[in-house]
Amino acid sequence: MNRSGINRRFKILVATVGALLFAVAYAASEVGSTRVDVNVLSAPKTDAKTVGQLSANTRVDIAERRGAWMRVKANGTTGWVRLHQVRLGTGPEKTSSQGMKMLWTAGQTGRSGATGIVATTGVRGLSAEDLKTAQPNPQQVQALEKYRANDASAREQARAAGLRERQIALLPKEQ
Amino acid sequence: MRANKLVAGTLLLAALAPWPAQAFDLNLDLNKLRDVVTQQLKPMSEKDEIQLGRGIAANLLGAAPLVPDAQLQAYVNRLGKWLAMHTDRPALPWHFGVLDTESVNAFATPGGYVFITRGLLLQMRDEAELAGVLAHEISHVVEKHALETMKKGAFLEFAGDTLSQALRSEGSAEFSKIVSAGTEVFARGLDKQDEFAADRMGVVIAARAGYDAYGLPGTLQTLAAINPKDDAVALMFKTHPDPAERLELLLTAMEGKLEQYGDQPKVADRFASVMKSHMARYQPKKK
Repeated sequence: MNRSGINRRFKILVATVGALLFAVAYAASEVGSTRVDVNVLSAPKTDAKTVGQLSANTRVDIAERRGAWMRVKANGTTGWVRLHQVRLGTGPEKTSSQGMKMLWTAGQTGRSGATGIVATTGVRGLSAEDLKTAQPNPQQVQALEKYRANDASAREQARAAGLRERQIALLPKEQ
Repeated sequence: MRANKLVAGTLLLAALAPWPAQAFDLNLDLNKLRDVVTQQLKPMSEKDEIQLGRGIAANLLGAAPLVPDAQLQAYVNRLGKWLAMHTDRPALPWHFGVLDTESVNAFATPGGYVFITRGLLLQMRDEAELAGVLAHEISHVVEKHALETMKKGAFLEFAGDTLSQALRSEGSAEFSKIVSAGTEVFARGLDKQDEFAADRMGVVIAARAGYDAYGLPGTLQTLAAINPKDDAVALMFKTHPDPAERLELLLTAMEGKLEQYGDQPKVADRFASVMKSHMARYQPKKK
Protein backbone atom coordinates (compact mmCIF):
# COMPACT_ATOMS: atom_id res chain seq x y z
CA MET A 1 0.00 0.00 0.00
CA ASN A 2 1.39 3.36 -0.94
CA ARG A 3 1.71 6.36 1.31
CA SER A 4 -1.26 8.30 -0.12
CA GLY A 5 -3.51 5.25 0.46
CA ILE A 6 -2.54 5.15 4.13
CA ASN A 7 -3.09 8.88 4.36
CA ARG A 8 -6.53 8.56 2.85
CA ARG A 9 -7.48 5.73 5.21
CA PHE A 10 -6.24 7.76 8.16
CA LYS A 11 -8.31 10.73 7.05
CA ILE A 12 -11.41 8.56 6.69
CA LEU A 13 -10.78 7.13 10.18
CA VAL A 14 -10.41 10.61 11.68
CA ALA A 15 -13.57 11.78 9.91
CA THR A 16 -15.51 8.73 11.14
CA VAL A 17 -14.37 9.12 14.74
CA GLY A 18 -15.14 12.84 14.54
CA ALA A 19 -18.64 12.16 13.22
CA LEU A 20 -19.25 9.59 15.96
CA LEU A 21 -18.09 11.98 18.67
CA PHE A 22 -20.34 14.69 17.25
CA ALA A 23 -23.29 12.28 17.16
CA VAL A 24 -22.71 11.27 20.79
CA ALA A 25 -22.35 14.87 21.94
CA TYR A 26 -25.46 15.82 20.00
CA ALA A 27 -27.63 13.02 21.38
CA ALA A 28 -26.49 12.78 25.01
CA SER A 29 -27.47 16.25 25.95
CA GLU A 30 -30.13 16.41 28.59
CA VAL A 31 -30.33 15.54 32.25
CA GLY A 32 -33.29 15.67 34.57
CA SER A 33 -34.52 14.70 38.03
CA THR A 34 -37.52 12.61 38.98
CA ARG A 35 -40.28 14.76 40.47
CA VAL A 36 -41.92 11.84 42.29
CA ASP A 37 -41.22 8.17 42.97
CA VAL A 38 -41.55 6.51 39.56
CA ASN A 39 -41.79 3.04 38.08
CA VAL A 40 -39.47 2.61 35.12
CA LEU A 41 -41.17 0.63 32.35
CA SER A 42 -39.77 -1.64 29.65
CA ALA A 43 -41.69 0.14 26.85
CA PRO A 44 -43.46 3.51 26.35
CA LYS A 45 -46.87 2.06 27.28
CA THR A 46 -48.79 2.20 30.56
CA ASP A 47 -49.26 -1.60 30.57
CA ALA A 48 -45.56 -2.34 29.97
CA LYS A 49 -43.54 -4.37 32.47
CA THR A 50 -41.86 -2.48 35.34
CA VAL A 51 -38.10 -2.86 35.10
CA GLY A 52 -37.08 -0.69 38.02
CA GLN A 53 -37.99 2.03 40.46
CA LEU A 54 -36.52 5.45 41.08
CA SER A 55 -37.22 7.54 44.14
CA ALA A 56 -38.03 11.21 43.85
CA ASN A 57 -35.13 13.58 43.09
CA THR A 58 -33.01 10.96 41.37
CA ARG A 59 -30.77 12.35 38.64
CA VAL A 60 -31.54 10.78 35.25
CA ASP A 61 -29.92 10.97 31.83
CA ILE A 62 -32.50 11.50 29.12
CA ALA A 63 -31.65 9.25 26.21
CA GLU A 64 -34.73 9.67 24.03
CA ARG A 65 -38.11 11.41 23.84
CA ARG A 66 -41.07 9.70 22.26
CA GLY A 67 -44.54 11.23 22.55
CA ALA A 68 -45.60 11.39 26.20
CA TRP A 69 -42.57 9.33 27.23
CA MET A 70 -38.86 9.61 27.75
CA ARG A 71 -36.28 6.85 27.94
CA VAL A 72 -34.04 7.53 30.92
CA LYS A 73 -30.93 6.00 32.44
CA ALA A 74 -30.27 6.12 36.16
CA ASN A 75 -28.60 3.93 38.77
CA GLY A 76 -28.00 1.18 36.22
CA THR A 77 -31.66 1.11 35.17
CA THR A 78 -32.79 2.03 31.67
CA GLY A 79 -36.43 2.37 30.73
CA TRP A 80 -39.41 4.57 30.04
CA VAL A 81 -41.09 7.16 32.25
CA ARG A 82 -43.78 9.77 31.54
CA LEU A 83 -42.80 13.31 30.53
CA HIS A 84 -44.33 15.00 33.57
CA GLN A 85 -42.56 12.66 36.02
CA VAL A 86 -39.24 14.33 35.22
CA ARG A 87 -38.18 17.93 35.53
CA LEU A 88 -35.28 19.09 33.44
CA GLY A 89 -32.00 20.04 35.07
CA THR A 90 -30.65 18.84 38.37
CA GLY A 91 -31.72 21.60 40.73
CA PRO A 92 -34.67 21.43 43.09
CA GLU A 93 -38.06 22.28 41.61
CA LYS A 94 -38.43 25.92 40.50
CA THR A 95 -35.61 27.16 42.68
CA SER A 96 -32.85 26.53 40.21
CA SER A 97 -30.32 29.31 40.41
CA GLN A 98 -28.66 28.13 37.22
CA GLY A 99 -30.72 30.52 35.17
CA MET A 100 -31.97 29.87 31.71
CA LYS A 101 -30.04 27.62 29.39
CA MET A 102 -30.01 28.48 25.74
CA LEU A 103 -30.31 25.33 23.66
CA TRP A 104 -28.84 27.07 20.62
CA THR A 105 -25.71 29.15 20.77
CA ALA A 106 -23.65 30.89 18.13
CA GLY A 107 -20.35 29.15 18.73
CA GLN A 108 -21.77 25.65 18.48
CA THR A 109 -22.72 23.38 15.67
CA GLY A 110 -25.78 22.00 17.38
CA ARG A 111 -27.89 22.06 20.49
CA SER A 112 -25.67 22.86 23.42
CA GLY A 113 -27.73 21.00 26.01
CA ALA A 114 -26.33 20.84 29.50
CA THR A 115 -23.13 22.63 28.56
CA GLY A 116 -24.97 25.62 27.13
CA ILE A 117 -24.34 29.19 28.10
CA VAL A 118 -26.36 30.48 30.96
CA ALA A 119 -28.33 33.60 30.31
CA THR A 120 -27.97 36.10 33.07
CA THR A 121 -30.75 38.31 34.31
CA GLY A 122 -30.97 41.77 32.81
CA VAL A 123 -31.26 40.58 29.22
CA ARG A 124 -32.68 42.91 26.62
CA GLY A 125 -36.25 41.91 27.22
CA LEU A 126 -39.87 42.70 26.63
CA SER A 127 -41.66 43.78 29.80
CA ALA A 128 -45.27 44.58 30.63
CA GLU A 129 -44.23 48.23 30.78
CA ASP A 130 -42.80 48.03 27.24
CA LEU A 131 -46.19 46.83 26.00
CA LYS A 132 -48.14 49.50 27.88
CA THR A 133 -46.04 52.29 26.41
CA ALA A 134 -45.54 50.77 22.95
CA GLN A 135 -45.80 53.03 19.91
CA PRO A 136 -46.77 51.59 16.50
CA ASN A 137 -44.02 50.71 14.04
CA PRO A 138 -45.57 50.74 10.53
CA GLN A 139 -42.27 49.85 8.77
CA GLN A 140 -42.09 46.63 10.76
CA VAL A 141 -45.68 45.80 9.80
CA GLN A 142 -44.67 46.17 6.15
CA ALA A 143 -41.73 43.83 6.74
CA LEU A 144 -44.11 41.35 8.34
CA GLU A 145 -46.39 41.50 5.26
CA LYS A 146 -43.43 40.64 3.06
CA TYR A 147 -42.80 37.34 4.83
CA ARG A 148 -46.36 36.02 4.48
CA ALA A 149 -46.66 32.51 3.06
CA ASN A 150 -49.28 31.23 0.66
CA ASP A 151 -50.99 27.82 0.84
CA ALA A 152 -48.77 26.31 -1.85
CA SER A 153 -45.46 27.19 -0.17
CA ALA A 154 -46.80 26.04 3.20
CA ARG A 155 -47.89 22.73 1.70
CA GLU A 156 -44.55 22.28 -0.05
CA GLN A 157 -42.55 22.83 3.15
CA ALA A 158 -44.75 20.28 4.96
CA ARG A 159 -44.41 17.76 2.16
CA ALA A 160 -40.61 18.11 2.16
CA ALA A 161 -40.56 16.98 5.81
CA GLY A 162 -42.85 14.04 5.12
CA LEU A 163 -45.73 15.42 7.21
CA ARG A 164 -49.05 13.67 6.64
CA GLU A 165 -52.37 15.39 7.37
CA ARG A 166 -54.80 13.70 9.77
CA GLN A 167 -58.45 14.13 10.64
CA ILE A 168 -58.50 14.50 14.42
CA ALA A 169 -61.38 15.70 16.60
CA LEU A 170 -60.76 18.51 19.08
CA LEU A 171 -60.36 17.50 22.73
CA PRO A 172 -63.39 18.12 24.97
CA LYS A 173 -63.73 21.74 26.15
CA GLU A 174 -63.53 20.90 29.82
CA GLN A 175 -61.80 18.19 31.80
CA MET B 1 -76.20 38.47 31.87
CA ARG B 2 -76.56 40.18 28.50
CA ALA B 3 -80.34 39.73 28.58
CA ASN B 4 -80.31 41.35 32.01
CA LYS B 5 -78.65 44.45 30.60
CA LEU B 6 -81.31 44.69 27.91
CA VAL B 7 -84.04 44.34 30.52
CA ALA B 8 -82.33 46.94 32.68
CA GLY B 9 -82.17 49.29 29.70
CA THR B 10 -85.84 48.86 28.96
CA LEU B 11 -86.79 49.42 32.60
CA LEU B 12 -84.65 52.56 32.72
CA LEU B 13 -86.39 53.86 29.63
CA ALA B 14 -89.83 53.06 31.09
CA ALA B 15 -88.98 54.63 34.44
CA LEU B 16 -87.65 57.87 33.00
CA ALA B 17 -90.10 58.28 30.13
CA PRO B 18 -92.79 60.30 31.99
CA TRP B 19 -90.42 63.23 32.65
CA PRO B 20 -90.09 65.15 29.40
CA ALA B 21 -87.69 67.70 30.93
CA GLN B 22 -85.05 64.99 31.09
CA ALA B 23 -85.73 63.65 27.63
CA PHE B 24 -82.63 65.16 26.01
CA ASP B 25 -80.17 63.75 28.54
CA LEU B 26 -82.08 60.55 28.60
CA ASN B 27 -81.71 60.07 24.86
CA LEU B 28 -77.96 60.43 25.07
CA ASP B 29 -77.71 57.92 27.88
CA LEU B 30 -79.95 55.49 26.11
CA ASN B 31 -77.96 55.78 22.92
CA LYS B 32 -74.82 54.96 24.79
CA LEU B 33 -76.54 52.15 26.62
CA ARG B 34 -77.88 50.78 23.34
CA ASP B 35 -74.40 50.93 21.81
CA VAL B 36 -72.80 49.12 24.70
CA VAL B 37 -75.48 46.44 24.66
CA THR B 38 -75.27 46.07 20.87
CA GLN B 39 -71.50 45.82 21.02
CA GLN B 40 -71.70 42.99 23.49
CA LEU B 41 -74.36 41.09 21.56
CA LYS B 42 -73.07 41.65 18.06
CA PRO B 43 -69.81 39.91 17.17
CA MET B 44 -67.16 42.23 15.75
CA SER B 45 -66.94 41.90 11.97
CA GLU B 46 -63.93 40.01 10.65
CA LYS B 47 -62.78 43.15 8.87
CA ASP B 48 -62.78 45.11 12.14
CA GLU B 49 -61.09 42.23 13.94
CA ILE B 50 -58.24 42.23 11.41
CA GLN B 51 -57.88 46.04 11.58
CA LEU B 52 -57.68 45.85 15.37
CA GLY B 53 -55.21 42.95 15.30
CA ARG B 54 -53.03 44.72 12.77
CA GLY B 55 -52.97 47.84 14.95
CA ILE B 56 -51.96 45.84 18.02
CA ALA B 57 -49.34 43.99 15.95
CA ALA B 58 -47.85 47.38 14.97
CA ASN B 59 -47.58 48.21 18.68
CA LEU B 60 -45.99 44.87 19.57
CA LEU B 61 -43.48 45.45 16.75
CA GLY B 62 -42.87 48.89 18.21
CA ALA B 63 -41.92 47.22 21.51
CA ALA B 64 -39.75 44.53 19.87
CA PRO B 65 -38.83 44.45 16.15
CA LEU B 66 -38.61 41.39 13.92
CA VAL B 67 -35.40 39.38 13.83
CA PRO B 68 -33.68 40.66 10.65
CA ASP B 69 -33.43 37.20 9.07
CA ALA B 70 -35.68 36.80 6.02
CA GLN B 71 -35.04 33.07 5.69
CA LEU B 72 -35.99 32.38 9.30
CA GLN B 73 -39.12 34.56 9.06
CA ALA B 74 -40.23 32.88 5.81
CA TYR B 75 -39.69 29.42 7.32
CA VAL B 76 -41.80 30.27 10.37
CA ASN B 77 -44.52 31.77 8.12
CA ARG B 78 -44.76 28.64 5.98
CA LEU B 79 -44.95 26.48 9.09
CA GLY B 80 -47.53 28.72 10.76
CA LYS B 81 -49.67 28.90 7.63
CA TRP B 82 -49.60 25.10 7.31
CA LEU B 83 -50.92 24.83 10.88
CA ALA B 84 -53.58 27.51 10.33
CA MET B 85 -54.82 25.55 7.29
CA HIS B 86 -55.89 22.86 9.77
CA THR B 87 -58.23 25.10 11.77
CA ASP B 88 -61.74 26.51 11.32
CA ARG B 89 -60.31 29.88 10.18
CA PRO B 90 -57.87 28.97 7.39
CA ALA B 91 -58.71 32.04 5.28
CA LEU B 92 -57.66 34.73 7.77
CA PRO B 93 -54.65 36.78 6.59
CA TRP B 94 -52.25 34.82 8.83
CA HIS B 95 -48.94 36.51 9.64
CA PHE B 96 -46.12 35.07 11.74
CA GLY B 97 -43.11 36.88 13.11
CA VAL B 98 -40.06 36.11 15.24
CA LEU B 99 -39.43 39.06 17.59
CA ASP B 100 -35.86 40.13 18.26
CA THR B 101 -35.84 39.86 22.03
CA GLU B 102 -34.25 37.43 24.46
CA SER B 103 -37.47 37.35 26.49
CA VAL B 104 -39.25 34.01 26.34
CA ASN B 105 -42.82 34.58 25.15
CA ALA B 106 -45.38 34.32 22.36
CA PHE B 107 -48.41 36.43 21.43
CA ALA B 108 -51.36 36.32 19.06
CA THR B 109 -53.43 39.37 18.23
CA PRO B 110 -56.95 39.18 16.74
CA GLY B 111 -57.17 38.60 13.01
CA GLY B 112 -54.21 36.20 12.82
CA TYR B 113 -50.99 38.04 13.79
CA VAL B 114 -48.84 35.53 15.65
CA PHE B 115 -45.49 36.33 17.28
CA ILE B 116 -42.88 34.21 18.99
CA THR B 117 -39.77 35.66 20.58
CA ARG B 118 -36.30 34.61 19.53
CA GLY B 119 -35.66 33.80 23.20
CA LEU B 120 -38.37 31.15 23.11
CA LEU B 121 -37.25 29.80 19.73
CA LEU B 122 -33.75 29.22 21.18
CA GLN B 123 -35.30 26.96 23.83
CA MET B 124 -36.79 24.49 21.35
CA ARG B 125 -35.57 21.04 20.36
CA ASP B 126 -37.35 20.51 17.06
CA GLU B 127 -39.97 21.70 14.60
CA ALA B 128 -42.75 19.81 16.41
CA GLU B 129 -42.13 22.03 19.47
CA LEU B 130 -42.28 25.17 17.34
CA ALA B 131 -45.46 23.84 15.71
CA GLY B 132 -46.95 23.18 19.16
CA VAL B 133 -46.30 26.71 20.39
CA LEU B 134 -47.51 28.36 17.16
CA ALA B 135 -50.63 26.15 17.22
CA HIS B 136 -51.32 27.28 20.81
CA GLU B 137 -51.20 30.91 19.64
CA ILE B 138 -53.28 30.13 16.53
CA SER B 139 -55.91 28.62 18.85
CA HIS B 140 -56.20 31.93 20.73
CA VAL B 141 -57.01 33.61 17.40
CA VAL B 142 -59.43 30.91 16.22
CA GLU B 143 -61.29 31.05 19.55
CA LYS B 144 -61.06 34.89 19.74
CA HIS B 145 -59.73 34.76 23.31
CA ALA B 146 -57.95 38.14 23.22
CA LEU B 147 -60.88 39.82 21.46
CA GLU B 148 -63.36 38.57 24.08
CA THR B 149 -61.03 39.68 26.88
CA MET B 150 -60.83 43.16 25.33
CA LYS B 151 -64.61 43.39 24.96
CA LYS B 152 -65.07 42.49 28.62
CA GLY B 153 -62.66 45.14 29.84
CA ALA B 154 -60.53 47.37 27.66
CA PHE B 155 -63.30 48.31 25.20
CA LEU B 156 -66.16 48.92 27.61
CA GLU B 157 -65.70 52.67 27.38
CA PHE B 158 -66.07 52.58 23.61
CA ALA B 159 -69.63 52.31 22.35
CA GLY B 160 -70.24 49.77 19.59
CA ASP B 161 -70.51 52.14 16.65
CA THR B 162 -67.63 54.29 17.87
CA LEU B 163 -65.44 51.21 18.08
CA SER B 164 -66.26 50.12 14.56
CA GLN B 165 -65.88 53.62 13.10
CA ALA B 166 -62.58 54.23 14.87
CA LEU B 167 -61.16 50.93 13.64
CA ARG B 168 -61.83 52.09 10.10
CA SER B 169 -59.91 55.32 10.54
CA GLU B 170 -56.36 54.13 11.10
CA GLY B 171 -54.11 56.87 12.38
CA SER B 172 -56.90 58.73 14.18
CA ALA B 173 -56.61 59.46 17.89
CA GLU B 174 -59.55 57.15 18.60
CA PHE B 175 -57.89 54.32 16.67
CA SER B 176 -54.67 54.71 18.70
CA LYS B 177 -56.63 54.77 21.93
CA ILE B 178 -58.46 51.54 21.11
CA VAL B 179 -55.30 49.82 19.90
CA SER B 180 -53.39 50.88 23.04
CA ALA B 181 -56.18 49.49 25.19
CA GLY B 182 -56.01 46.28 23.16
CA THR B 183 -52.22 46.05 23.51
CA GLU B 184 -52.48 46.34 27.28
CA VAL B 185 -54.34 43.04 27.39
CA PHE B 186 -51.03 41.39 26.45
CA ALA B 187 -49.34 42.99 29.44
CA ARG B 188 -52.02 41.61 31.76
CA GLY B 189 -52.66 38.24 30.15
CA LEU B 190 -55.70 36.24 29.20
CA ASP B 191 -57.96 34.16 31.38
CA LYS B 192 -56.23 31.06 32.78
CA GLN B 193 -58.95 28.87 31.28
CA ASP B 194 -58.26 30.36 27.82
CA GLU B 195 -54.61 29.27 28.16
CA PHE B 196 -55.57 25.70 29.07
CA ALA B 197 -58.10 25.66 26.19
CA ALA B 198 -55.45 26.88 23.72
CA ASP B 199 -53.09 24.13 24.95
CA ARG B 200 -55.75 21.48 24.30
CA MET B 201 -56.59 22.84 20.85
CA GLY B 202 -52.95 23.52 19.92
CA VAL B 203 -51.84 19.89 20.29
CA VAL B 204 -54.71 18.75 18.03
CA ILE B 205 -53.84 21.32 15.33
CA ALA B 206 -50.17 20.26 15.39
CA ALA B 207 -51.14 16.57 15.14
CA ARG B 208 -53.61 17.30 12.28
CA ALA B 209 -50.76 19.00 10.43
CA GLY B 210 -48.74 15.80 10.80
CA TYR B 211 -46.42 16.65 13.72
CA ASP B 212 -45.66 14.67 16.86
CA ALA B 213 -48.50 15.87 19.12
CA TYR B 214 -46.12 16.17 22.08
CA GLY B 215 -44.16 19.19 20.84
CA LEU B 216 -46.06 21.66 23.03
CA PRO B 217 -45.72 19.45 26.13
CA GLY B 218 -41.97 19.26 25.39
CA THR B 219 -41.65 23.05 25.44
CA LEU B 220 -43.84 23.33 28.56
CA GLN B 221 -41.44 20.93 30.27
CA THR B 222 -38.53 23.16 29.26
CA LEU B 223 -40.32 26.28 30.55
CA ALA B 224 -41.09 24.53 33.83
CA ALA B 225 -37.35 24.20 34.46
CA ILE B 226 -36.63 27.93 34.11
CA ASN B 227 -36.35 29.90 37.30
CA PRO B 228 -39.42 32.21 37.35
CA LYS B 229 -37.19 34.94 38.82
CA ASP B 230 -35.21 35.12 35.56
CA ASP B 231 -35.97 38.44 33.81
CA ALA B 232 -36.35 36.67 30.49
CA VAL B 233 -39.50 34.87 31.64
CA ALA B 234 -40.98 37.55 33.92
CA LEU B 235 -43.77 38.66 31.57
CA MET B 236 -44.63 35.14 30.44
CA PHE B 237 -44.88 33.83 34.01
CA LYS B 238 -46.96 36.85 35.00
CA THR B 239 -49.44 36.34 32.16
CA HIS B 240 -49.64 32.53 32.00
CA PRO B 241 -50.45 29.72 34.43
CA ASP B 242 -47.50 27.72 35.83
CA PRO B 243 -46.03 25.62 32.96
CA ALA B 244 -45.76 22.52 35.19
CA GLU B 245 -49.50 22.77 35.90
CA ARG B 246 -50.23 23.29 32.20
CA LEU B 247 -48.10 20.25 31.33
CA GLU B 248 -49.92 17.97 33.76
CA LEU B 249 -53.39 19.11 32.69
CA LEU B 250 -52.49 18.83 29.02
CA LEU B 251 -50.99 15.33 29.30
CA THR B 252 -54.10 14.19 31.18
CA ALA B 253 -56.35 15.64 28.47
CA MET B 254 -54.28 13.95 25.74
CA GLU B 255 -54.31 10.55 27.44
CA GLY B 256 -56.13 7.91 25.40
CA LYS B 257 -56.92 10.44 22.66
CA LEU B 258 -53.69 11.72 21.11
CA GLU B 259 -51.11 9.17 22.21
CA GLN B 260 -51.19 7.45 18.83
CA TYR B 261 -49.95 10.72 17.29
CA GLY B 262 -46.86 10.73 19.51
CA ASP B 263 -44.78 8.95 16.89
CA GLN B 264 -45.43 11.42 14.04
CA PRO B 265 -42.36 13.34 12.80
CA LYS B 266 -40.57 15.81 15.10
CA VAL B 267 -38.62 17.19 12.12
CA ALA B 268 -35.52 17.72 14.26
CA ASP B 269 -32.95 17.73 11.44
CA ARG B 270 -34.49 20.53 9.38
CA PHE B 271 -35.07 22.58 12.53
CA ALA B 272 -31.42 22.11 13.52
CA SER B 273 -30.25 23.21 10.11
CA VAL B 274 -32.52 26.30 10.11
CA MET B 275 -31.29 27.24 13.58
CA LYS B 276 -27.63 26.72 12.75
CA SER B 277 -27.92 28.94 9.66
CA HIS B 278 -29.76 31.53 11.71
CA MET B 279 -27.14 31.51 14.48
CA ALA B 280 -24.40 31.97 11.89
CA ARG B 281 -26.16 34.97 10.33
CA TYR B 282 -27.47 36.61 13.46
CA GLN B 283 -26.02 39.93 14.53
CA PRO B 284 -27.31 41.16 17.87
CA LYS B 285 -28.85 44.56 17.42
CA LYS B 286 -26.84 47.42 18.87
CA LYS B 287 -28.80 49.36 21.40
